Amino acid sequence: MNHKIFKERSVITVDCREMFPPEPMVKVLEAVETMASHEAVLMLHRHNPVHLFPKLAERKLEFHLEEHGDDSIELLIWRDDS
Amino acid sequence: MKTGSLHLDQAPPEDIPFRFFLSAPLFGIMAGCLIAFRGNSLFLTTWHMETVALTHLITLGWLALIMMGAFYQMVPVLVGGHVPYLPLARIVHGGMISGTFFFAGGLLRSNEQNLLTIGGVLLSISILLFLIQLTIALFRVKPNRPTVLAMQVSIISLAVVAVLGGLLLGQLAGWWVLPFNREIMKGIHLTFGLLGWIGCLIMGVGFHVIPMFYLATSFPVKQSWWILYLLIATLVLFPLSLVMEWGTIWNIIMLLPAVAGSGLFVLTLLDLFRKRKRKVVDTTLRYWQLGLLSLLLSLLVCLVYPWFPNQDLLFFFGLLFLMGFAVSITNGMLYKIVPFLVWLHRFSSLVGKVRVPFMSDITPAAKTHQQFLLSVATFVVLAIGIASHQNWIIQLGGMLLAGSSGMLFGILYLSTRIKVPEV
Repeated sequence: MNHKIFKERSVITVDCREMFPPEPMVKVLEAVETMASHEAVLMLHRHNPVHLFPKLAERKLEFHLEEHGDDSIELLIWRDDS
Repeated sequence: MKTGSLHLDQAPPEDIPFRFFLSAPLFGIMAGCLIAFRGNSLFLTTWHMETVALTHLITLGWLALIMMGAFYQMVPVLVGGHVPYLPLARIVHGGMISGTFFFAGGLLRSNEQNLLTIGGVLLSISILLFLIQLTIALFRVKPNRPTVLAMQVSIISLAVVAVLGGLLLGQLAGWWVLPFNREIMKGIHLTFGLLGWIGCLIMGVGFHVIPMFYLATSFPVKQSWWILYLLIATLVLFPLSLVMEWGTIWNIIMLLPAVAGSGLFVLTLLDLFRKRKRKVVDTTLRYWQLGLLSLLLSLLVCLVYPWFPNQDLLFFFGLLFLMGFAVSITNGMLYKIVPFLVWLHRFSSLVGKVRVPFMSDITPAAKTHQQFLLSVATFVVLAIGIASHQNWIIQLGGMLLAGSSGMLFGILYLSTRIKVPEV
C-alpha cells in the first residue's frame, strides 16, 4: 500500500491472516483504542472485514482499504486530528 | 475512506435473523415427534399425505426459515444489496411459522380443507413478501461474483417452487383441478426446491464463508462459475425432459450436469478443508464434512434410482439430501452465525473498554459437540429404520431427532440470552 499516512505516522501492523472471527476485529479495535495521535494501524487480512467498518465509523476513525486479488486486503486506519 | 463495493452498517437488527434461526429447531422437534408417533407408516410411499407433511416440516419449517434468516442477514453484508421494507421480515416470519403449522396440520388431518386453505394463504403471502424484498435487493446487484448469481438463482427457484407448490396445494384443498400431470409437477417442484433453492444457496454461501470461517484459501472462482452453470443447466434441462416426456435415459442425462457440479463442489471443498492454514477441528467443520459426504451419497442414489426404482431409494435420497446434507450444514452454520451475531451486536462496541467474551463463551463447544453426536445418531438410526422397516427403530430415530433439535434450540436460546456487561 502506498499512502501519505505512511510518511506522516508510525504504523502498527496487525496481521490477522491466520485468525478466526471475531479475533481480527478484537485485535484491530484494541490496537486503535490505544493508538497515539502520531500512529496509525495497518490491518492485514484475507477478506473485507465488513463488520469492522461501522465500528470504525462509530469511533470517528479514517480508513483506506486496498484489495489484492481474492485472498488479501490491507486496511489502514488513523484518527484525523485536524 | 474507501470501502470498495461495501455498504456500511446495513446489517439487520439482531432480532430479525434470530427469530428465523431459533424457530427452525422447533419444527425439527415437531418432525421428530411425528416420526416417533407414526413410525413406519411414514416411510411406505412418498405420496402418503403424512409423509408430505413430514417433508414440509423439514423443508418449510427448518430449511426455509434458516435460509430466509440467512438471506436477510447476508444479502446486505456479503453482496451489498439493500433489503427494502426490512420490518416486513417479522411478518414473513410469523406467516411462515403459522402457515407451515396449518399446512402440515391440514395434511395430517386427511387433507382438512380449512387448515390447508389457511396454511396456503399464509405461506403464499409470506413467500411473496419475501420474494419481493429479496428480488429488489438482489437484482440491483451485478451478478459479477458467483455468490451473487447463486443467490439470484436460489430466489428464482423459490418462486418456481412456490408457484408449483401452490398449484399442488390448491388441488389438495379442492380449489381447482390441475390440467397437468401431477407427477411431472412434483418432479419440477422437487428439482427447483432441492437443487435451485437449497443447493444453490448452500453452495453460493459456501464459496464465500468457507475460506473466512476455516482459514482456507479462496474457493477457485473459475470452479465456482462452472458449478453454478452446471446446476443451472440441469434446472433448465431436467424439467424440460420431464415435460416433454423424453423418458428415463434422457432424464438421467439431464441430471448429469448437476451431479458433476455438486461432485465438483464437494471435492473442491474437501480439498480446501485439507489444506486449511490452521487445522482446528470444531463441530461446524464436522457438520460440513457430514453434509458433503451425504450430498455425494445422495447423488449416487439419484443415479441408481432410475435403474432400480423403488420407494426405499427415494426415502434414502430424502434422508441423505435433506437430513444429511441440508439440515446438517444449516445446523452447523447456526453454530458459527448465532454466536458471531451475539458478539457483534452486543460486545464488539465494548472491545478495548471491558473484557469481551470469546465465541466459545457464548456457545460452548462441548455442548455443540454433544448435539452433533445426537444428530449423527439420528441420521444412522433413521437410515437403519428405513432399510429394515422396523417400526421401533424408526420411532427411536424420531425421538432422537426431537432430542437433537431440542438440544439445538436450547443451545441457541441460551447463546442469545447473554447480557451485555455494564461499562
